[in-house]
Amino acid sequence: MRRISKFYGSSQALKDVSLKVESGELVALLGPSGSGKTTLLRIIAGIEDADPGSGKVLFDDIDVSSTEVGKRRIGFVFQHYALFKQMSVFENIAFGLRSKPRRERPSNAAIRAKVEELLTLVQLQNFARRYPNQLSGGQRQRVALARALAVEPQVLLLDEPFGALDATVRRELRRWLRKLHDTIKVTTIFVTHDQEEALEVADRIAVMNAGKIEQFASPEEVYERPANPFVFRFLGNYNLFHARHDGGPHRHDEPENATPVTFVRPHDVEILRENPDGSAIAAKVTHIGFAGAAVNVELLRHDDQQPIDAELTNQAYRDLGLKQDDEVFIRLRNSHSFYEDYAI
Amino acid sequence: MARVTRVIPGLPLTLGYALFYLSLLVLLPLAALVIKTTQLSWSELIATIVDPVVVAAFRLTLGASIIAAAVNGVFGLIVAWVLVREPFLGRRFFDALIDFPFALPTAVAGITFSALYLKDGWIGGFGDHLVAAANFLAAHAGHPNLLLPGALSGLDFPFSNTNTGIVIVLIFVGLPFVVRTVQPVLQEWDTEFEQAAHSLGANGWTTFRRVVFPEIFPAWLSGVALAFARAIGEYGSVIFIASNIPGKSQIVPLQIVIKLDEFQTSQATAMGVVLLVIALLVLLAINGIEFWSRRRQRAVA
Repeated sequence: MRRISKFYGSSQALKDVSLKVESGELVALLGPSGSGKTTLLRIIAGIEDADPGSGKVLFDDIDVSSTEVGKRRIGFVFQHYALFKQMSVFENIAFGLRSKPRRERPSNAAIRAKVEELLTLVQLQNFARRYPNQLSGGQRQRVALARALAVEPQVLLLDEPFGALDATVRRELRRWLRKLHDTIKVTTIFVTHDQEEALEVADRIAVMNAGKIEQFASPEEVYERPANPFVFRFLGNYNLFHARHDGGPHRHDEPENATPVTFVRPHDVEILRENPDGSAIAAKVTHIGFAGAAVNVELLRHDDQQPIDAELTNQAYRDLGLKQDDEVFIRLRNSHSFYEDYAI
Repeated sequence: MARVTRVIPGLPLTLGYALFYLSLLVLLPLAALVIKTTQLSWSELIATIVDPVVVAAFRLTLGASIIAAAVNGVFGLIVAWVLVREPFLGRRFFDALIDFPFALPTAVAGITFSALYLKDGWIGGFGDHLVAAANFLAAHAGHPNLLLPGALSGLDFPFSNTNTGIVIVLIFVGLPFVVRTVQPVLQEWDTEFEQAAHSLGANGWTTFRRVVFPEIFPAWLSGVALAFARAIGEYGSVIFIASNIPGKSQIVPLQIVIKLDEFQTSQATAMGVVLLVIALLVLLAINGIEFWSRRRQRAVA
């Protein structure tokens, strides 16, 4: 089974976006706020309509653009859960089944069995009789997920599912989501602005900016081979080199007059005490920020007075015995050059 | 022992004032009412209450008030919904108009409604007006007396001169209560809940019945209760539209006024006390339901 979801928009929020998701895939829509990722998700869900005359949403090659949200067989999980406050956890999960037209509605026993199965799936077996305001944020989000899964959707859509949770719960829950997806294999699209979350959880990531998809590829691909400076910038910290520099790999297809912009991740900046072959750049340590497993070192280049951020492992930091105002040399392990035709 | 922190500085003073104020304006008159009633013996009291004219008045007042409150419950909800959700031209104007029944002297409302709905009013006598107009035109065309008088009286406002007029004015005076209690709840309401219900396949009615209504129920119920309480005490507007025939179309407040005119003060206060007790019981019952429905939401597992 192949599931295609395609969409061409022409509103300001989305500009001719086209996205094809394979069946059973877990896809992240990643982008800064205002990039149109939530709008795209809501259009796929049918909660919002695309502009008249713009493209279509296809599920399994079937056009669902004019199908209303309730009939699309989607499961939608909201950022703030949107659990029904006056219903117990059990009734929340049963809501989709109980709302079916009479002839499609399963028997009470079947509903009970289904809800209990889902409660087990989201590890909330003992919470059936509780009310949403008696649950923690993470538990509420799991109930919301179970509620969406109850109607056996073809596509599961999650809008910033972990956005309202604190960091620890968020990390725990996204691993859990990944495992859950591996178990139930339902095609899932989730929206996030957290690159770490997208990289860790998704099979493929669609990086969005200003209503467009900049790159749609696997986490490794978008991280290691970003399609453009935006993707590079969005996926982590970076150093910028405007002029050509020594020590980094050069691209052979550089046009004569263009000045390349080179991006380097802080962890790809190597700090040396010596300059054995003369190719390293001399710099001075201006600040050391100890962040546990990693140590962030701020440096200042001697030649053009540009600041550089480096990230060392705790081990490397101790081996070097770095102190503030130390004179060192830096070398770039891995860099990406783009030409200045790209405005962000 | 932990000191009780007070939100308002000098609360004992404000508390004392509030209690004094309530006593002076609410408790004292109520007590006087009850004391006045006790001047009657039990048998006199019962005789006052079971007088067929009085019983009919109670039946009319309660019946009309219940119908008016129910109608306001339904239409007030719809009006509140439309005012919050449907942007339309002049919404603010209509929104302001809702408070109109609060501000308008009830006697003026009564006279206005009588002018419209009674037999000789625009709406009340619609069929007769139509007959007159048709005959007037026909006379010009050379066919005098085309229609017999009363030929179209079926088009008259069907219930003019009966007690429906009472219900209509009671609906009018009670309208703002439901709208104004439900409106803020709907404004706070996040449409995500409806989107969630729709995404789960629920149709509009199911969504309303199972998701929206339970949320606004407590506010709605207090609105209905207030509309009801207002209706049973309403006097000014009703006496103009009702035909005020004893035993048929006299409301309790009018009965009370008549008793007072006849210097039967104790009988009048007795009826007042009964009305008061009914109102209290209704409000108590409604508060109970409200409390119960809120408790259910916060039920401890």
